[in-house]
Amino acid sequence: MSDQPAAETSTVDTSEVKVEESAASTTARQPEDWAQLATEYKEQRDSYQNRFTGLQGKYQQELAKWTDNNDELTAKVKTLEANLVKLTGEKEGSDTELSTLKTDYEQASSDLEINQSQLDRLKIITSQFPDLLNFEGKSLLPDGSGDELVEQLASFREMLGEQGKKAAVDLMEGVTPAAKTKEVDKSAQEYWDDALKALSAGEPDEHNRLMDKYFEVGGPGEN
Amino acid sequence: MADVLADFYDKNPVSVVDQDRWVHQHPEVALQFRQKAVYTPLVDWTSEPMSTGALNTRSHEIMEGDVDISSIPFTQNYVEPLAVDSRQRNYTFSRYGQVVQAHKSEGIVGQFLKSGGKDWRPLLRGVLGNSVVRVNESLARNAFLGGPKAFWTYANDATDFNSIGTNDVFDPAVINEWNLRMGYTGSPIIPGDVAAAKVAIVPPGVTYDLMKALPAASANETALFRDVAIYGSQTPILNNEIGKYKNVRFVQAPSNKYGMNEAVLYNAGLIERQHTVTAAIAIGDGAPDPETTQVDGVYYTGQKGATHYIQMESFSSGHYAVNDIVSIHTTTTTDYGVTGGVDPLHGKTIQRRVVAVDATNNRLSFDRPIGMAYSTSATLTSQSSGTGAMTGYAHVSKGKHIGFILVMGSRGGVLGAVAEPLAFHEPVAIDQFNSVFRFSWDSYHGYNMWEPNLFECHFCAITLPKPGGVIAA
Repeated sequence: MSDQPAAETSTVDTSEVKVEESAASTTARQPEDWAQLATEYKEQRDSYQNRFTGLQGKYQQELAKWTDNNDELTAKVKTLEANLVKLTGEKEGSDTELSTLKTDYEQASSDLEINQSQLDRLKIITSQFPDLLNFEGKSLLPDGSGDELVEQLASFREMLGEQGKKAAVDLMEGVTPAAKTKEVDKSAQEYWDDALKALSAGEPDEHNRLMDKYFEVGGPGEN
Repeated sequence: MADVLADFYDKNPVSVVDQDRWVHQHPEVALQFRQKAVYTPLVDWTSEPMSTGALNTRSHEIMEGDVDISSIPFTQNYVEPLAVDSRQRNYTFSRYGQVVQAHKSEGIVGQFLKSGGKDWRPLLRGVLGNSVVRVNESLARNAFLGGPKAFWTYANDATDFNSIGTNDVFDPAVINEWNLRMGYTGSPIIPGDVAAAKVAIVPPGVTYDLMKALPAASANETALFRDVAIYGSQTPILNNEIGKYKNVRFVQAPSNKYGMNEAVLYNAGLIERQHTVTAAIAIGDGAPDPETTQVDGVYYTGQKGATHYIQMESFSSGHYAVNDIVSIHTTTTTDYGVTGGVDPLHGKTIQRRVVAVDATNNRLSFDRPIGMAYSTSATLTSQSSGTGAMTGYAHVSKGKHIGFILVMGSRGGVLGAVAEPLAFHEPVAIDQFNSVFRFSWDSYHGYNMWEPNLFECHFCAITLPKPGGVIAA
């Protein structure tokens, strides 16, 4: 910044003050005092001008110093902001990784628990119910664990035994399964009646089969 | 023990007749109703007119008086008796019948002839059985639509068909209102259903809009929808049932093989274009020349000698487009609030998909031939007509399609009455070569409005399918 404009401003101000003072003190001062008064004002002006010029220099120095500081601080802030973004990203990545690890851990724990449970179940079957091992292979045994499983398997084994005994008794007694009733010598009317029963029972395939028979033996003409 | 669903579907004009009076065609027709019917089983049936022979029957119902719960003096010997009153309802029947034709070269006719003319089942599984079921399905649907309009509801703020706008598609919020309005005063719709669920018969476009609305609803609301696959193994499900929402079981009315659906009232809303047909339409007209043009790139449709278009009064390019679904009809109505509106219940109202537009000669061609004649001329005034009233044979209308949802609160809304069992008549060849046979049936039965509080007709704008896209609501 140049000093010249400030000096011009000072001159104008001084002149104005002088005119005003002059107007105000026309009646109070003698003419011989004007020269002295002008000298006083001039000295005063020079003094102010010197002080102003000195302060301008100081002001320029301070301004330059603070401008430099500002640039430095701005750079620092930018650096810190960049660091913050980088660290935030790294933290989010770490959080995600932690979450994944937790999920993996829970899955592994769960798998372990299931495997342990299956191992316990197999131990029970192989040690106490080895005859049912084949059923386990085909997933035919009841679910459960611990004492409950032992109880259910015992019941299952008992039921199998009873079925086996009944089959043996039936064999000895010469029982054979009942043969299907042979559909012979039915009249069209009988097939018609049976077909309607099947229809009412919601058995369309059986109904259609009986209607085929109905028409085979003559259909409506034979009713 | 009868099957639960057999019980449900055996509500039809055949199964209500005592089996002692059945003839050999009846069981197959009953089976066809089980497989294909949607609206007919929602009607309750009586065969009482078969006993009385009365064309009109007045049914009486006793109304019990109000009860007075005040105590009576110990010494009082005379007490005012409870009032008793009654109310009556009428039901009646009409005669319905159709004749279908088939050539002896068709397999179903061949099988019939081979059985000595006794086994009608191949015919009943085809065109003849379809005729019986389709007539009754339309009558049953129309019976529900014939109820008082005061009970009708519309999507959003619409008040009639005319005011149903593009945005008035199905809104699931109305389901709460259905549950409020239709109490469980009658018997459950599905026999043995402990939850006494309501049943809504919806067109496919409503399913489309429901599925679009669910994701937009809150998670809690969305979770209330149950796909039929979830509960289908635990309870008997109806044919075409798609799911359950807030104790309403949704059944999607099936479209026929030409894409038309009984639950859509085609072009019944605001009319966009309406022109007059200026030349009589004969049976078989309207489809493109099978020797030059395949419908959908596949079908050689109709006969070479037919007229391959319908002739209309002057219309402009852009008024009609390929894949538009238009209605052909002889009357218009303002019953639904639409000026010059299509009457979806009229016997001569049909709809077709446009496959060719000739705006130069003012002609439209359709995906299949017109199946009934429009040969009676009348003075017709079509809404888009450039000349106003003119002599014509039908209107062609393109308007807003209306989705029809029938919601049943419980059974008993419509009463069907059978006076004479469905009868089939021995076919005779009608040509000199004994090749073309006409099979006919007729029946004396009727559909009567019985209790309008037990069901609701709900209407909305609807999205329709078209080849390669949709017709927006």
